[in-house]
Amino acid sequence: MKTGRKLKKIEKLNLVPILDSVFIFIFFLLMSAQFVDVYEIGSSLPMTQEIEDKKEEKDPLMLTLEVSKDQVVVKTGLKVTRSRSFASTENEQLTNYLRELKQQNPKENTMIVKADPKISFQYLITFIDSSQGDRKNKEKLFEQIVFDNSGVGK
Amino acid sequence: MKKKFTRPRNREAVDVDITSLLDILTILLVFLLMSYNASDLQLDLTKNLELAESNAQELTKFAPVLQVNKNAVVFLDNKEIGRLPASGSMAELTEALKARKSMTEEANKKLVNPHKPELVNLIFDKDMDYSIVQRVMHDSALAGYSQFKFIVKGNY
Repeated sequence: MKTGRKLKKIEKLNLVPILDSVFIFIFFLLMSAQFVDVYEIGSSLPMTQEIEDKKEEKDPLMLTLEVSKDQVVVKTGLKVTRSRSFASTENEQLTNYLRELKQQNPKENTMIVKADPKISFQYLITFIDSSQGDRKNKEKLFEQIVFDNSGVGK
Repeated sequence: MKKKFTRPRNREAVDVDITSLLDILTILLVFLLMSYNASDLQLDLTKNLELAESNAQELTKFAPVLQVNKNAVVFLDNKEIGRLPASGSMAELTEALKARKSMTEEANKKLVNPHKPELVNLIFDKDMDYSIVQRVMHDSALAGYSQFKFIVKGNY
């Protein structure tokens, strides 16, 4: 038995406007594309500031990272200086130690970097990376980096 | 002899299948969107310079770009300043930076969102000695630049 229904022709979607906009979008992206991902590591020179002479009970952290060819020395404290050394391969241990320091001093965010003039720039950047924690998970340790150009051990 | 005009026969419009074209465009769009960098700094690296790798994630900002390549040749905004001397400071670099700083300060007067006049982007070859980095930072500080941004390549 035949039904009385007629087969309706399905109308095709007009994709021309969307194609136009996609083309324009692709041109815009191509023009502004940078195929090397570049980022920045901020730092500043040591600044001096006059502050009122306050009697602080707590010893300031005064975190200093001394980077030399074969080791990194982390120094803390102003009144009582403590230091801990890490071999150049112990990046993870360094990060964990700085994490501990951050937990003990959550308000501190400054780190002084002293480096041996003979080390390479990449070597220094590797240790700065280690001192910044897990950046992928937005972890923040001591993000304010101040370069002390007086040299290691001075 | 004149050609006789003939009316074209009624032909059906040919349907071009654009599905494959759309597929390519979508893939291209996704790839470009993934590699899009919202930084306002346009960077042209000089020859003989390889960026240091880092897991930094902070986007670069607009500021003068100072590049030092493997041969210790200094470029300010892609203009060659000269080669760094074996020791001591480089007077040409300090002078060029001072001129650049005054240009930024002058331009800032007309801008609604002024740029930081004390900020400079530093690019060093990854194998460069830290002593050269120190000297360039020192010369920049003499010209009035106290904030440095080291430009690095993302390696994650």
